Amino acid sequence: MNVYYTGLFVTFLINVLCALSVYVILKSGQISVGNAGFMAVGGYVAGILSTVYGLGIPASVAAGSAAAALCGAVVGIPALRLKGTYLVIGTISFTAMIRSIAQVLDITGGAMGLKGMKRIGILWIVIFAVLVIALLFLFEKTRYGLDVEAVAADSEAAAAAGVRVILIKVLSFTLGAAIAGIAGGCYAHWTQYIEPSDFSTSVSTMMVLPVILGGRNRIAGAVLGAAVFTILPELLRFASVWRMVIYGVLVIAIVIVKPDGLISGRKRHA
Amino acid sequence: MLEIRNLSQYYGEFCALKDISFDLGENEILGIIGQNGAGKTTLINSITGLGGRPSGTVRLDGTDILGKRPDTIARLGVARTFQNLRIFRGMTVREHLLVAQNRKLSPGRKLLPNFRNTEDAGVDALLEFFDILRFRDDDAEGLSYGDRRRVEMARALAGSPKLLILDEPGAGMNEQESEVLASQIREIRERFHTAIILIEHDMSIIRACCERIIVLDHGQKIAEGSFEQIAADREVQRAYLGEEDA
Repeated sequence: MNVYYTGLFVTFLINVLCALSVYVILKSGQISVGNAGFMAVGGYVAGILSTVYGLGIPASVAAGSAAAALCGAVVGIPALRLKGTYLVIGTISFTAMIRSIAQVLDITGGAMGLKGMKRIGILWIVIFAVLVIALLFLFEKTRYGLDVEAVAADSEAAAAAGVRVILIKVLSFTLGAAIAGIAGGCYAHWTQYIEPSDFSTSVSTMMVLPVILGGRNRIAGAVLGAAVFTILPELLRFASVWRMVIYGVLVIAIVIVKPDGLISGRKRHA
Repeated sequence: MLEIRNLSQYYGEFCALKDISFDLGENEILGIIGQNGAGKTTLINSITGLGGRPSGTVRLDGTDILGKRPDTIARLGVARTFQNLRIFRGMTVREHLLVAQNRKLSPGRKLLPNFRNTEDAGVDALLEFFDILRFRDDDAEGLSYGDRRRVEMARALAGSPKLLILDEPGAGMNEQESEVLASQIREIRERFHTAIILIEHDMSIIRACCERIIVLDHGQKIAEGSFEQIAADREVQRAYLGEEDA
């Protein structure tokens, strides 16, 4: 594989992780436009552990994911009181907060960014992505997976049926944040340099779009959406300055034609 | 089994429930009637933990449940249906029952992935009971109004509740369906050993099912007794028929 395709493949895998991090939260009927913040936590924690403390890269990524998961739980609890637009604003604010913290701390390199990470092997990124997909697939087949869908469909009726709504909602945020954390750790060790602006709100938004486009009810939808969002900009390179315009029109067209996403319909529980 | 004392619910200045007290015995079917806006649904929302900040005492088998979260109350054995149907969008009839069954499973069992369509005698028996077994793997949202009501009742029973609260189960049903429903409600008690609180406008269902009836008017309990006692009560007649013959 030449460098171009290798890079594209890694971008795809990281986009898959990002999309799945949003997917998990959407699946529980919540929305997060703050996953770049969780990604930042994963990226910085993993980067600092591997550069300052000399921890191995895979272990650093895993630890970064755990730190992001913790943030997910902390954000998930107040998020219980927020719905719709307010939750969007709340999660955006979280990302802004994380960026500011990364900007002022010494250990994160401030505005100069964090550097000195060794490059992660592609195989590790593949392993992380496959592991996340496999675990999510299994999770959706459990009775907890069914609880998640009931909460998304009607949280009050789910509660009246005995579903622990708070647990399910916070768990979903935690899980989504953990996945975003893995994406951040992989990203930090692939580009070998991260700075606060890598985790802007537009990055958070770009994590949501593939899921809406690919289909929010299925893991395959998020993966397909990530593929489209990775490849489409490359295919449109011929259009040079008009690239983003065509890109935008295509995305709008897909959303209008397939409002439930490219892969719609949910899987049933056995 | 259920003990309610001085249950009140205010929304700002407005008093939706005032000093409601009553008891419910094991295996009893209690009817609650009253005009629209009398506080019937508010009363059961207060019991099941949905909405508002009620005051007073509600005890289920000695455990104070007032102010607890709705899922906690459900897990203690109180199940309900909703006046405005609350179906899980996109989920099959069978899945509705599995969700309610979940409360009885251990966390470990809940984490086991399931790939095959396992036979579940309990689910099938419930669906059979409500005559909706043929819709088992259909999207519940696509069913008729009456069948969706039956899905809700089956879902409520799937969690093996001690107390079942039915909020106008007969709404939108014709005379014949109401008759079937009334006999089903009595049968539910025998088969599933549950106490039942029944809110209903259809007096034929109330008469056929309830040993005891509570009448609510403007958030207050104005009468309690058998159907005959209630029907003869002047206060009830005034609330239902207007002031002229009071």
